[in-house]
Amino acid sequence: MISLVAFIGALELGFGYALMALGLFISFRILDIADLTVDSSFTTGAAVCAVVTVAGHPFLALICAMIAGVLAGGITAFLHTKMKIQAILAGILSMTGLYSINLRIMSGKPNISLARVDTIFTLGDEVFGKQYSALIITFIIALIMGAFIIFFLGTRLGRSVRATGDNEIMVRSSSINSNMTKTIGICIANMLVALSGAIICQSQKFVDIKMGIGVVVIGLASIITGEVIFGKKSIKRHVIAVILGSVVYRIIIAFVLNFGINQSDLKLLSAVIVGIAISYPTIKNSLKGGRRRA
Amino acid sequence: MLKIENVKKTFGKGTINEKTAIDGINLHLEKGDFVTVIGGNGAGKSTLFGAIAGSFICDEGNIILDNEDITFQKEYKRARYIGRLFQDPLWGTAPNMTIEENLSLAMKGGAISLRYGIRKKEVELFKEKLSLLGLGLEDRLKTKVGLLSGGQRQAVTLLMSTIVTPKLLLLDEHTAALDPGTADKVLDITKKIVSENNITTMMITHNIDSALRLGNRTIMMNNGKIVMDLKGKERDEMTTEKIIEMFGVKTDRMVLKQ
Ligand SMILES: Nc1ncnc2c1ncn2[C@@H]1O[C@H](COP(=O)(O)OP(=O)(O)O)[C@@H](O)[C@H]1O
Ligand SMILES: [Mg+2]
Repeated sequence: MISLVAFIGALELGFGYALMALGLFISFRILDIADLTVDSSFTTGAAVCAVVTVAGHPFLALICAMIAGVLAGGITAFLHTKMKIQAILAGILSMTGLYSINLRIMSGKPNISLARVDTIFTLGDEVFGKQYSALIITFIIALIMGAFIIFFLGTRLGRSVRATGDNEIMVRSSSINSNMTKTIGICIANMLVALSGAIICQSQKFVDIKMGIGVVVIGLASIITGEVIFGKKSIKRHVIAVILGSVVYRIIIAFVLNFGINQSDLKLLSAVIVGIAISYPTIKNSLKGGRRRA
Repeated sequence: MLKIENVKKTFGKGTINEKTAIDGINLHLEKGDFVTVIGGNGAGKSTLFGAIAGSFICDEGNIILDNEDITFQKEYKRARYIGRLFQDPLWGTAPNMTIEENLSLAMKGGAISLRYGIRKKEVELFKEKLSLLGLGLEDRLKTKVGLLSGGQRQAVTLLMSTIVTPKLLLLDEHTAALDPGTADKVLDITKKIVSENNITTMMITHNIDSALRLGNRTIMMNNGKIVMDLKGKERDEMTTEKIIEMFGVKTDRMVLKQ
């Protein structure tokens, strides 16, 4: 078993990273685009947040992080829609370029500590009490963003974005401007990812230039976990599943760590889980085929 | 209404695969015309539709619709007043979205609107239009389109293309992938919608019989050119047999009368 503190910690992380998973949900599931910008835009959000928080504006820091995320997504979207670069490569280009930009934002330092400044969490401690404030704050933000996504995808514009990912051929010959819908989707996705980075940065009071490495895989693991456990019948259901998937994923990780698995082996574990989950249908089929041949 | 002037399109210019798909097409349509288009595989029929709808910019020539030069207009902008259906029923609708969500995408205005949900008035309109199809879809507004049959999907696509009356409707063998019974049904619905709204229509078909029976004008294409243009009395007197004889269509699937 894990301690209550570890459990609450897992929930906090789960809701914090849920925003990132929601971002990936928009790009990977709704738009059906493998956007790898995320590994860097997560850090961009955290870095911008750290700088503004240190300057004494913890709330403004979150807004700035979101704007930075939109810009990061905007670059990828521009490369993909206007320059006609494959989505995956466009994302890799942005991700690579953003690494340098992130370092610049952090004035060349590989990490920044927020140990002695106010964050939304230290301010929250006074309102909600020390033990649960981080959980309450991350939960509320995840709730707001989840509601925002459900709302957005139900608007006319959101439906156009969904159609773009659902049937590219249809959209190409329709009055939907797919360059615009893709751009909006990718920008919102990275806005959420950057906000997630900002929240994690403030809650851990620390930003590291490498903190975004592998978040794509963590996000996918969360999405798949959520889909398997909670289903994806409707948009509402799917969004809730992604948020809860992120939480469940963190609880699983907390248990795994408790078993004595090395922190540094976690990424391998996540990658293996995602690999198996995604290839599950193929593996099942080939097993069936193998049996028939035998 | 529609003026196509000397339009040319060559694919793969300068490569060994160079192919002039349409080669100097001239065509004038009057408002309310229903033109059927026939011609063998690779004759350039779909490419002609692509040129009109803006899937690509033509190498030469001009396209004028309703006194507006749309030669260089983007495809999604033309789609506001040009409806288009393809052979594949999977092409025209978003499978993971419901019937009403799909139809809502076809409504005019508010493409970037942030209004949540679909207006009651629109839902009423969808129900009314769907009931005219006679497929019982008016009670299934919240059904995902992916669960419908090919014929049902094609009917929904047709509705999406015409719910805001288009200036021009392009039908590219839109019943060819359906079983004969369903194809007839979708064709009947097409005729009804087109005549009730007096929509200027072009329809590609490989069925010469129905090409001569439907509409008021028939053109035949070959090698990127219009090789026959039938209207009025001349058309009334034309028969499938004569066309086959004149153009020596032999093994082509055009001779299939179904
Ligand atoms: N996008 C394309 N790229 C290259 N060649 C094409 C393309 N579209 C059509 N073609 C070629 O142009 C010719 C006309 O094709 P198409 O208009 O589809 O004929 P039809 O619809 O009459 O069967 C064919 O030889 C076809 O191979
Ligand atoms: Mg064709």
